[in-house]
Amino acid sequence: MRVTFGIEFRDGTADIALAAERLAAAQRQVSSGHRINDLSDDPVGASSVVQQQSAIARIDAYTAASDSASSRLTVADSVLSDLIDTITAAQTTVVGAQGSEVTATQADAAVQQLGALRDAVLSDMNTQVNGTFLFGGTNVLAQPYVQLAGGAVSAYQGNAATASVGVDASRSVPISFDGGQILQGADPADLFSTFASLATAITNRDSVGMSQGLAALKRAFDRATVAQTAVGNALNTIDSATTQRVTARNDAAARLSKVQDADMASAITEMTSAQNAYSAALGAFATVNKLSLMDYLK
Amino acid sequence: MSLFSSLSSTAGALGAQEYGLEIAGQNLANINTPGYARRTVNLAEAPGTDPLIAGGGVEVQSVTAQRNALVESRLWHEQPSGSEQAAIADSLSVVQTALGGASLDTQLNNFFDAFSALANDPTSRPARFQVVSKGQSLAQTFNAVSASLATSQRDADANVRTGVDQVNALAATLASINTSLAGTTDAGAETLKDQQSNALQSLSQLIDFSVIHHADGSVDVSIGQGRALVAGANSYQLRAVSGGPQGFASIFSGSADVSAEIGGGSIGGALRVRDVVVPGYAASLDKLAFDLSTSVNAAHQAGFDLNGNPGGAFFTPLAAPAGAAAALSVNPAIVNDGTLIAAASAPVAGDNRTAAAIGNLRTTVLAGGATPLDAWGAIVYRVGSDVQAARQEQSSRADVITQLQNLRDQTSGVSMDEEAASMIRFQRAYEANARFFTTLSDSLDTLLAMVNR
Repeated sequence: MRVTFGIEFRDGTADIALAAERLAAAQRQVSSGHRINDLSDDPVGASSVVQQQSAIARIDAYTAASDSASSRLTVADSVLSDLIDTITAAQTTVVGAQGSEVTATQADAAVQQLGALRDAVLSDMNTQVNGTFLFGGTNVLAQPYVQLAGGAVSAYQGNAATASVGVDASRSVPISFDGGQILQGADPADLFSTFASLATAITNRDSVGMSQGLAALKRAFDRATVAQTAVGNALNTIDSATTQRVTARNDAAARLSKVQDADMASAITEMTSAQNAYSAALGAFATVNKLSLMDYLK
Repeated sequence: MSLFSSLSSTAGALGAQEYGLEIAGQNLANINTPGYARRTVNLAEAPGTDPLIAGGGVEVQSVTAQRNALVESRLWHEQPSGSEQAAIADSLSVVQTALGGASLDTQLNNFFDAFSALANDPTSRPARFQVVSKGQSLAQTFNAVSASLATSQRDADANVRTGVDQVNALAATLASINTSLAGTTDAGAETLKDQQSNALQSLSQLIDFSVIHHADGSVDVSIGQGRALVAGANSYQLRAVSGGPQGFASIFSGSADVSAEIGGGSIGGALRVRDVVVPGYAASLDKLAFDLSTSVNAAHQAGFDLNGNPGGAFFTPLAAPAGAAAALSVNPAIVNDGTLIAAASAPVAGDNRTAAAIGNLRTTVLAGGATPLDAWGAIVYRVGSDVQAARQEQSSRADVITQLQNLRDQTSGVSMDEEAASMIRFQRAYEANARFFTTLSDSLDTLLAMVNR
């Protein structure tokens, strides 16, 4: 075989180019920290990166929804605790106002106490989070209960629908509540009307009216307790979903890292190896081209 | 044989060795000249004019250019495939850089995240602003990716046009060489054949062709389905004729459109990128943009905006998938007024079901049979896979071409060592003949001295 200058040059430069390309690829992995720098580095991996990033984004969206719902539910839980306390206080007040030995002064005090408790309920039911009403169903921009002239309270202004958000692929939690269901439920009148009836019954020493009022308070207490339990369950659902999401996100991040990130130890080893190969290719080309019969001509 | 005739034949021998040295010099001078075939000088014994004399010395019979027609023909056959794959790999590398940097997946996720955030707080003005902003970013990214693909097609078209010009110039050169070969001397013919080989080598990088060799060294070249490019002294120019909606060039030979017949070389690669590969990506991108906008609009129009009115189209409605990615935009009315975003499934401000439904489109299978992210992932895979395949094919073809070039060089290439050896050989022979000439001259001096005595 004749080895010509052209063959030596072509093979030498091709070997140098190959070694330089390998070194550049290794260098890019080390400097970027990524195994995939171009789609063609690993087409299946690049497609998988899209899927894993989407999975992470989806989990993060559920996390944002959970955080938002959690803050609303925490407020709702606090409000419902207040409501339960208020109803309990009303029950205590009414029980204290029962009996023939109650004086007119005591009765007036009890009526005033009921009025204060009614205002507390009104304040609770008109609670806002981020400028929207929590207990108006999905009618979040309208005040659920409005104080009318003379101290009376309007009928429920919200609706029976509730909004919810997903906290994972299969579970959702409410972020608004039907105030009408809590304060009235299946009763013919809401809690504000009960307070008004009880005030009248105490003023009139109407023991039957007071007993009926106490029964209504008991039902309101039960509804508020059920609502608070539902809120507690929702918060538990968020906690449970959060635990699972953290695990799922870690798994997805690990899968993403496995596909996308360079194994630095092997990347650096490869870069060193490529550097040596490049150096060897340069040296070989320079050495081979030093030798020529021309050098021996005189 | 007389001393004078010996002087004459030795002078001829000196000339022959000197010519050998000249050939070595010529070979070394052209050691890097593309297409140059190593020359060897053929010496022959010069016949004597009389049976009683030793001979007529030496004469230069011919100079031979060392060529391997089979290898050269094979090289011209393989080169177009290598150049085609190189052109495809180069063009698609630009496409993959554009697609890889576009982060359409990030924009899709941001868009769905924005609707999910709106579902968390459907009356929030900032959340609505965020939906508009992310919708615009998504649409602009679709526009940008589509524009990148269109640019790649235009670049490929420019390469086709440039390639056609180069083919025409080479065809004219080959026709001119054919003309010159008709009435030239041997030495001149070899130079012309070097130029011819070089022109054919350059042509093989541009286009696939067939060659017919004639006895006088001229060649006829045809492309495609036997379309004449060079026939004797005539070259038949190709024409790049603009046409179609995008104004891309079709290649005409005479009155025939031969674009579909060209399958190799950088022109074939550019045609494939322009007419097949990139349009395939663009169609997938358009389909994704169309399906996404259709699904978002359907959900949005089924909902109610913050004012309690039925929702309009979120994205400006698109008539068909073709051109959807380039045309995608958020409805200007929504851009101007975020309250027109339909987050509710009922005309109540706090309802969030429509926003949640659009947020959930992230994992919904669209009309194309895949989720938006999976559809984009498929495009990403396809581009990456095509670039990888083109590079592998290019590398494989390059290996074959390098082997053929080395085979050609084994016959035609210049070796410095060989030429150095030739120089020594002819120099030594020249010295020996010069010494013989001196001896003859001394003999003549002796003879003449005897006459003068």
